[in-house]
Amino acid sequence: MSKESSTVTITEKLTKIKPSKTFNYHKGGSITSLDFDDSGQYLISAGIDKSIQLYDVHKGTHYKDIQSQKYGAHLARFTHKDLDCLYVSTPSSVPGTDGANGKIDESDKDLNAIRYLSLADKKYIRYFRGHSDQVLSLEVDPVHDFFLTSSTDGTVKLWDTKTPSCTGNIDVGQSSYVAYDPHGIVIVVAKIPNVSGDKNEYVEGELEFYDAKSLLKPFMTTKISTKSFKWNKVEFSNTGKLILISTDGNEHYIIDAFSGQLITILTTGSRTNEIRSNYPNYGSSCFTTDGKYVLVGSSNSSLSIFDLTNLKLTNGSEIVKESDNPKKLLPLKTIQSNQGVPRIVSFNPKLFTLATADNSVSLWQPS
Amino acid sequence: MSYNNYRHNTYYNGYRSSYNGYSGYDKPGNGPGTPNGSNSYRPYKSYPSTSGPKTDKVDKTPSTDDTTGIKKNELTGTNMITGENSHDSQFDKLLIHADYLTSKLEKIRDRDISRNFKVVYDPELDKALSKSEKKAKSKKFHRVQDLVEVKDPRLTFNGKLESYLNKPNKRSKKFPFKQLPQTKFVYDEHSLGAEPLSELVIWDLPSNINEVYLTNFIQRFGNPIKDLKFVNDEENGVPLGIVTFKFQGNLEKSSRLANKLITDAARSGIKLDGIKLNIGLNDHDNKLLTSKRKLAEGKLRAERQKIQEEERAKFEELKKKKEEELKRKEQELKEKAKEEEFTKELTPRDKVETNITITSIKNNRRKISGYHLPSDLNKYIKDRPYIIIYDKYLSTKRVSSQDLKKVLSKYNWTRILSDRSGFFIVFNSLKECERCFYKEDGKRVFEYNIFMELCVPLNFKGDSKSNKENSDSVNEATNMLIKDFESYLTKDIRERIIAPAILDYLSDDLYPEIIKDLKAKEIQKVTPVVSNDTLKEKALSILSLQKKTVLPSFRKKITAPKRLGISKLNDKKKTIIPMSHALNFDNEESDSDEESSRSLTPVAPLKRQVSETSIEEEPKKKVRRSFLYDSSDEDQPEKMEIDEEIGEQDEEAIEDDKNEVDYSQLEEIYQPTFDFPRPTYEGFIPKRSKFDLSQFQDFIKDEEDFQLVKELYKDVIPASIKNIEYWAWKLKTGGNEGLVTEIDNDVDTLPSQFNSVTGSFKSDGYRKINDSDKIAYLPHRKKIHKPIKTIQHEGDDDFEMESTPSLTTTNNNTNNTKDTNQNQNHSSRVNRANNRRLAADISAQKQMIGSESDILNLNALAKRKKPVTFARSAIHNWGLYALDPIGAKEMIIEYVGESIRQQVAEHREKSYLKTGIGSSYLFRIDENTVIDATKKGGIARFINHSCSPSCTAKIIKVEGKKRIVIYALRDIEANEELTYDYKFERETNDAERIRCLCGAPGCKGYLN
Repeated sequence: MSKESSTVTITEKLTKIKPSKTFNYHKGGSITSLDFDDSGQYLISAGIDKSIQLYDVHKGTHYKDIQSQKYGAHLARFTHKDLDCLYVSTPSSVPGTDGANGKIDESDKDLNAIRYLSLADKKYIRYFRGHSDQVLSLEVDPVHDFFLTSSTDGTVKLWDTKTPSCTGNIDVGQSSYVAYDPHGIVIVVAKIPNVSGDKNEYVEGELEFYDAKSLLKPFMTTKISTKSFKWNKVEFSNTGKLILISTDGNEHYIIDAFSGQLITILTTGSRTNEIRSNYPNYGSSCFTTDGKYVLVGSSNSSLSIFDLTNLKLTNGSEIVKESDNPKKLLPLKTIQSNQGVPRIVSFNPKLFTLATADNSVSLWQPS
Repeated sequence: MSYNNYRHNTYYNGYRSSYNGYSGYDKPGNGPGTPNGSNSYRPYKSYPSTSGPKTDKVDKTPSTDDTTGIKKNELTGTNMITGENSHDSQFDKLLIHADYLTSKLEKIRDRDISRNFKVVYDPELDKALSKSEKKAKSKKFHRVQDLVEVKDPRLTFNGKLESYLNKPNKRSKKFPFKQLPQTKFVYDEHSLGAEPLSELVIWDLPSNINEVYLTNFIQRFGNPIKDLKFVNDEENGVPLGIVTFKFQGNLEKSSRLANKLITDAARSGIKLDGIKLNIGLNDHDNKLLTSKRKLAEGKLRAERQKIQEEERAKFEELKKKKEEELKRKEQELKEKAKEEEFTKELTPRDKVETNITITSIKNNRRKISGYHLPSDLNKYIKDRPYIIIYDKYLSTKRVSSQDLKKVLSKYNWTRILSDRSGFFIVFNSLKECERCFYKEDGKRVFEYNIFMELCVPLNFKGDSKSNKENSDSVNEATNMLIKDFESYLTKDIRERIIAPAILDYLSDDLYPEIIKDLKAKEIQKVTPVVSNDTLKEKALSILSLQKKTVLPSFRKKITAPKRLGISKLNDKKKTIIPMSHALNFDNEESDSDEESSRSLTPVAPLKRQVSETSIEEEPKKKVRRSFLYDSSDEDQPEKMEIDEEIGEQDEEAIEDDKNEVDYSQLEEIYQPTFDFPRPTYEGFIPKRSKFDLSQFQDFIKDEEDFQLVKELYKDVIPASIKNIEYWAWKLKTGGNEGLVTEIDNDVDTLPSQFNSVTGSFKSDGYRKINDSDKIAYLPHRKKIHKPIKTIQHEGDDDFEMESTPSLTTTNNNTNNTKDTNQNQNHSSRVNRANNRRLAADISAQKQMIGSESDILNLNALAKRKKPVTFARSAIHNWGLYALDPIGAKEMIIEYVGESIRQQVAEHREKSYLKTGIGSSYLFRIDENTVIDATKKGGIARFINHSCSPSCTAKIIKVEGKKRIVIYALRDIEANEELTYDYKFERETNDAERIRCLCGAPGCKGYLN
């Protein structure tokens, strides 16, 4: 029965989605990342309980439990091959509480290494060492066997999954997020603005556009002024025309992918909708596969759907005035969920399924 | 320490106190009012390090979560205000925790673009290189300074921007799908929302449908069902006609089936026993169920109330009725009393109609005055009611009154008489008579429809019960007595009065003149005047004793002259007086009386010897009779035969007389003798048992003989034989076909309906002859099939043996047969003993070998089989015949066939009948086993049934298996047909009875 599927257009059904499954395999601990594999059949979640959980999205069942007690797990991402995944270690911060695995040895080279794990047989394929501090984002090239990482050590590194040493390095000088365009030829590095205490203040971040091949110099740089919300992710739409800057706050920013100008601000409501969390909410919003909608999780346990179809875009050549698009966009629909705060939202690339996570993973489906 | 604290708190102090422990751990600023349930995260902190019983205890506390996963309801996510996930504290604080990460994120240092690099060539990834080469070569890097120009790669993607925008890479994970397939999740414990509805409710179900029936019915729509519950009324347990159930299987499937069932029911309607089922999905709140339940209960109550009301109404009605009834009864009683009085007056007047005949149903039971009653039966019937079955309906010739008695055994008839006109069934009681009449009239008995007529004689007095019956029995007795007396009286009169009177009248004393004359004539030796009449009379008297002898006349040839002589020498010799025979009178005195009178006549006085031989021959006479089938037709030839013999006798007598008179001067041998008669010619003892023409011609030695014969046959009308020479020639050359045979052939005339239509059966073509008709052929067939030997035949042999001792050596001889049989008996017994020994040896060997081969399996019965063969039979189609004589009690043959069960046998019997196999070769061994020899079987199946069989079938056990074996009941001759009694069960339905054609003397007429 789970194999039976009917194809539905996203526009038609998106507003009718609702959570239909929830999985509590992280012992209540906060989940820090979600990712679907290329086929859309599997979902992995990484949590602060230092485990990676694998789910079968076809059947809607939990599939595997992978522990990574020594180094923790964060930013688990599928590569293109089988059930192989990359994840970032997040060492325990409290030395001495647990004699077995709690100590942070600064000299440990594996401390900030990226691990390449085969989930099928639970074997590590490779360690990617190079970052000297916590990795903040990890994006896999949607086409090629490369992946990008950014770290609090102020660098962005390009890796080839076939070799353990990094194949490219950009010194950003500060913490940043990275994103790939759908063709895997452009890299965006988003410099995270420093957030002040006053939420009414505006902060300025920066997007640097790199050619994934040459890498060394950005071919475009654009400054984005946002309210003082912590950015948590930068994402290209699958159409390649838009970039979404996801924040913890009630405002999310839609940037034209070609001109780098701000198109509109997605507003989910009151300011109190800011998602507060002790752990990073890597992607509290995301595009749908058709690039027409953005799903935004709010702290009031709701999911807001924004319709982007009416926005005017440059499409690489046209000029868009600020007045062409509404300054703020209100959600098309807000769906209340009882499954915690959807701190992390991820849309399945191949199936009409949405995953959200707080300290449990919920699968959403159109009803 | 914290663990102990917690444990203590949880157990004894509840939330409040445990909260204190928590708050000490929490960040400052989070005051009281943090969400409840926070107590539950503490144990997780210590959980990883705890183990054993302690953990178990913790787990048992109601507020703690499962170790495998937190229950949905208890799991609280990140607090939307504080951003705190209460569960996080149980885990180590990771470096990505905001406490550490925020500061790191804020860190900004100077950017050093020179540190940027891009690997352009990596020997590790160069597949063309060997391992050593990979190590030898170094990477090539690009640095910022190497880069001259930076352009947006999208604008030149595959030449132009449009291809970037409009031609998405299908291999890319980020493919802009506008449509996506949707999957459906199996409902399980992780599923959110309400479970799919799977419980079905059926209402308004008829109360007669039970659980099993319903279960089986619903199973057809998918999986078996579970949780079937009949909802009963809570108060009194009365079924409400509501059933709840679920389909088996997981929730999802169960729900799907349930939905399907409902849509089916809604679309086309599902009918159970013709009643449309009302089915609905029960929701989680049991709304449907409860509503239906209330409805049904309401109905039930209403019904009950209604019933109660009805009952009350009924009760009242009943009361009324009772009262009415009482009244009516009283009235009735009064009326009855009146009626009785009335009837009392009426009964004597209301007499049975008499002098009336009620005709048969054929004639619509009309009433006709007057009745048919032959006068001779009047005295038997005596004014009692009777039923006539006319001869045309039930032939008195074919059906005996005994048969009719059997048929009417149910009825209390008094007597059954038969007359030329038909049967008369006399009843004492008219009622019984009518009962019989109305029940049996027109019914089919045997082959006939018996149409009756009920007659009530004129003087019938009606039924006066016991009185009448008594007088009837007395009447009956007196009737019988009177009849007896009458017969005795007539006998006495005849014997004591008439006979002596006649004898007296005939006595010599009364006719002195005649005697004188006679004496004188005798003295004068005048040829006595012999009238042909007296001659014949005399001949008859002799023949009457001898007429049925096998060797008829030639003996008399020897004796006749003697007798003559004797009569002349000894007048006083006793003779047999014909009259005394006629009167059945045997008196010594009258014998002597007769002597004188007889002495004058040339009647050959019968010597003792003669009478003795006749007595000796008495049994033979019987034998003879049995060969001649005793039907009325057969009397005729016998008489003819006798006539022939009479002629012979006469001739002899005359011949002798003439010899005496005319040839006194001739040769000595021809001289009359006075002491004793001597034969003139050498008497001949005929070699053949039959008297034929040549013998007859031999008698007539000369002219005188011929004259005498001529005179003797004077009165006999000559047979109309056209060509005397041819006839004579044919008789002579016909050899064995003597007169007797010729006559025998005439015996076998068939009933007229079987005669040929065209005059020749050959030209008639084939036609079916019914089994029932075949009985008419029986004598004919029996005649032809001599091999069916009978006891009488053996008697013949006995005679032959006695008369011709030399024949004892022939095989036909019974004695001899017996001898050989005995020999065979003996030898076969020895053989069997030998065989048994052999079989024992073989079985011993078999055990030694230990193999289960069939080669060594002996059929003990096959060894004992007698030589038999099958041939056409007079009884039915084929029969089994003995090739050699078989002794009594010998085993003959085993009845071999397929051993089948009773059910199979019944089935086969029908199928055989259908396919036209009319003969039954099914032999029952016991209640469950039947041997079927129809398709596969031995020749024993050809053995026919006989009512006086020569064999018997026995069921014996051979090595634990039941077998049918045919044994000889008596000694069986060679070529005799073997028969045994089929012992079929008596068939009550006349139409299905099978006629027996065995032709045995005691034949019962039917097989079953």
